[in-house]
Amino acid sequence: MQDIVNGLAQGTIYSMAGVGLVLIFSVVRVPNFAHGEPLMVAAMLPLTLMTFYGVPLPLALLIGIAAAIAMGVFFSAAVFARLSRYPEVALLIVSLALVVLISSAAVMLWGDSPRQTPGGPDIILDLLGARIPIMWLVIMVTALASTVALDFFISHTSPGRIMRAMALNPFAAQLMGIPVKRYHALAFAIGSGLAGLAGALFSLAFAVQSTMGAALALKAFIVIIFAGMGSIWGAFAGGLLLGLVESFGASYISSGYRDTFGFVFLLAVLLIRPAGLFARKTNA
Amino acid sequence: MHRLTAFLPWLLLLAAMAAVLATGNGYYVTVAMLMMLWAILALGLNFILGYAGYFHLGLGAFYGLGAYGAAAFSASYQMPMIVALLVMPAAGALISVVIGPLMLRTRDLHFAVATLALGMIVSDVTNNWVAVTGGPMGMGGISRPGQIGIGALSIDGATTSGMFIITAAIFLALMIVAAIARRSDFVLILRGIKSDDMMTRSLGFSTTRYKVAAFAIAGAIASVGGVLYAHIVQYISPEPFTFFAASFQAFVVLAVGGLGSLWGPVLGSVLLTGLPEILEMDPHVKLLVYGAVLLIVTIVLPRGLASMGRVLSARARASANAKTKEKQT
Amino acid sequence: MADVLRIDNLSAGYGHATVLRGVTIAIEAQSTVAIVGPNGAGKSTLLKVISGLVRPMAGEVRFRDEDMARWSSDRVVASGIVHVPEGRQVFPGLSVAENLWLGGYSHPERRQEILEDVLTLFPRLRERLSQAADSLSGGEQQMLAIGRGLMAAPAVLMLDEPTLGLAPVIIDQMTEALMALRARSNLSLIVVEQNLQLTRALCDRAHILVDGRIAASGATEELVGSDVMKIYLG
Repeated sequence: MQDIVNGLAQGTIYSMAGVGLVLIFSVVRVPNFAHGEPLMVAAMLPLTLMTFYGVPLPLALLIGIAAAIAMGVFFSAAVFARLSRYPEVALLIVSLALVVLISSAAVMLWGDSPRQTPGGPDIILDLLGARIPIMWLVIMVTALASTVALDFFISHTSPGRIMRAMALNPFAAQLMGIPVKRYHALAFAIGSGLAGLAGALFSLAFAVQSTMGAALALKAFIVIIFAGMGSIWGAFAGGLLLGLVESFGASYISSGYRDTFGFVFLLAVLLIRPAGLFARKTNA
Repeated sequence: MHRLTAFLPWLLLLAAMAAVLATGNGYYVTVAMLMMLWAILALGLNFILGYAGYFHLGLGAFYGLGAYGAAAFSASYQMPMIVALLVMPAAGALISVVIGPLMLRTRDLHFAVATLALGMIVSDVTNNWVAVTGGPMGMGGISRPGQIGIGALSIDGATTSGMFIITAAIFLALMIVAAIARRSDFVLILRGIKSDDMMTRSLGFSTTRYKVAAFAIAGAIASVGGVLYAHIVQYISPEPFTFFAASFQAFVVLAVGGLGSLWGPVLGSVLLTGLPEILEMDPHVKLLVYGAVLLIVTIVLPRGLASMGRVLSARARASANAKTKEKQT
Repeated sequence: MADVLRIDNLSAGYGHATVLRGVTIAIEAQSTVAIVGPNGAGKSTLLKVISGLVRPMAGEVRFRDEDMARWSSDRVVASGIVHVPEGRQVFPGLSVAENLWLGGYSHPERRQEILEDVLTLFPRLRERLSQAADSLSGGEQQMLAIGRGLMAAPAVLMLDEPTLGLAPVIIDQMTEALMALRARSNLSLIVVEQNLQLTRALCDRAHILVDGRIAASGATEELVGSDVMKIYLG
């Protein structure tokens, strides 16, 4: 039971990151390997703000998330929008370069050791035979709520409808006179914001470090590949699944290999169903 | 005349190597060996990425495989380097052949993610399987190759210069193989796969077989690099074979030097290994610079340094054309 | 009558391939113009340059005497030039109503008004408002694509092969609707078409595009179906 809870708590972080990435990938069609960096920044910044500038916790978290959103907009406007006529190959390379740039800078700024953001609620519940820190419940509820909110946004608001159209047929969307770059930036902002939210909450419950971005981005990709690239709820489910796989693997086989289980699972999925588990037909 | 220009880069290379040896400076010689190692990795990567167009982001796994294998042969079984040099590439190729067909079923992005995952899995294993790999502490006690050759023509692998010559010999051999391969039908077909897989298949080529071969060659060459690394440094740990330390850097070296070119790996390696050494960069700064360089090169020179000649001459031609047009109107 | 669109010595293409070479066309306001030519001549590319999807390599494109060569596609649409692409390109999975709604992006305040107009022009769409766009027949999708274009309140409407792949009965219906559009005093039409009958019925002037160059221009009556055309189109 404890394993299930552990798995769900970590898993919902992956879900949030994955859902954000699904949005970015469907609307902008950029393989954004740098997706883990806003998450990392929102995880690392609050502690610095709190210790060096005396910023209270809630504000520090909000600033961290705002920084993540700003990074997303920056990626869109300053980097990917300018490279829209370049081959997909180049976009992949560019996003890798961004990962290296940002994480190296982060290590120089914050060092490489793990840390945690203090100040979260530290009540631990004893439910159904497992110890559940209340922070984990906060994370799970937030993940669910934000996915519901995003789903509503996509299906019931004007900007959401426009982004759906862009994902379905980018060519036609341009011809409608839709200012495509603006919505790219919006997709990046929302997606990175979700990643930032995940990072900020994660840092309250678990240890984080400057180099966590790459592995997390890879896990987010694992999640969206599970989900077949286009499905928000598929990504949500995929994140939970990944979390559970890792948790059970760490518990029953070996905790050092925690990350490995997800990667092995990914390889297994890719090799069996190269298009992903929840793959839908979309206009490629 | 054409023949002469073709030989020129080789002569330059040999001259440079001789010059480095002549300095007798251990530091320079070691840096030059590192340059050759990176060039070897980039050269191997070229087959699967440069020619076939598949984003292999897990080369570090094979690099590490070669190194750990060499460490096992040398430190645990006291076997000479030549054993590892023969066995490890074969092992790398074998593993590639086994997992290759499965992995190569995926396309671009999925393949990149899959190889990334592969690299990370191997990194995790080297870190955790303490009994075999020594975990984070690594494995030491790898001995240099001893005396090779007879009398006056012998090379002492135990010395830095001796090791340099051995490394250089292997590097040159691989360069020659690469040069020959470039003109072969094999590479031509790989290029066909890169530009249009379906078309190539419709011409009757079993593209999977070729892709797996390229994947295996990359793995084998990377393993050779690993063996060399182990015997040069004489101590290995999981660190140098991670994505950031190995796969990514090999990628940058090749991308900067020029995907699919012969001298690209060399040019890229010289620039990206030499410059940080000259500037005495901190490893984190070095990585940051790599990221920045990659960004710049991708945007300005999408085909890498080796294409600079072509790009410059194309620009020169274009401006000359514009000038003649002006004169005409 | 003033020219609404003027193209001067336009060269354009993709990457290293030049598709259009030195194309010069003037389109009068409120006229209906046909662009005909063999496959690969560059007709679609011409429309894409006007709608801002392809950057010109050389030459000028002027809309109401403003240089529009560097305009982004959203600016082009907002200014009143709408491109209905070849192959319908509807948004699959979204309903007819949603597709039309998206078309009205640049003129949201006029959506209701124009929607009524479009549904009157194409009654079939009214019946299928809540149906998914990709479940419509080819002809209905084409009507949807044109209706969607109209939602942007264009001054210039460009249609790329509107009757391609449609059954003759549908083509007749389409022709009726297009004739109604032609009659509008505030609309100029540019039609890329292979269907010569439709072209003769609909368009005043025609331009023959062959190998990226204008081979001939003139009144449709004289040009289309003439010997001149037969030479160029084989």
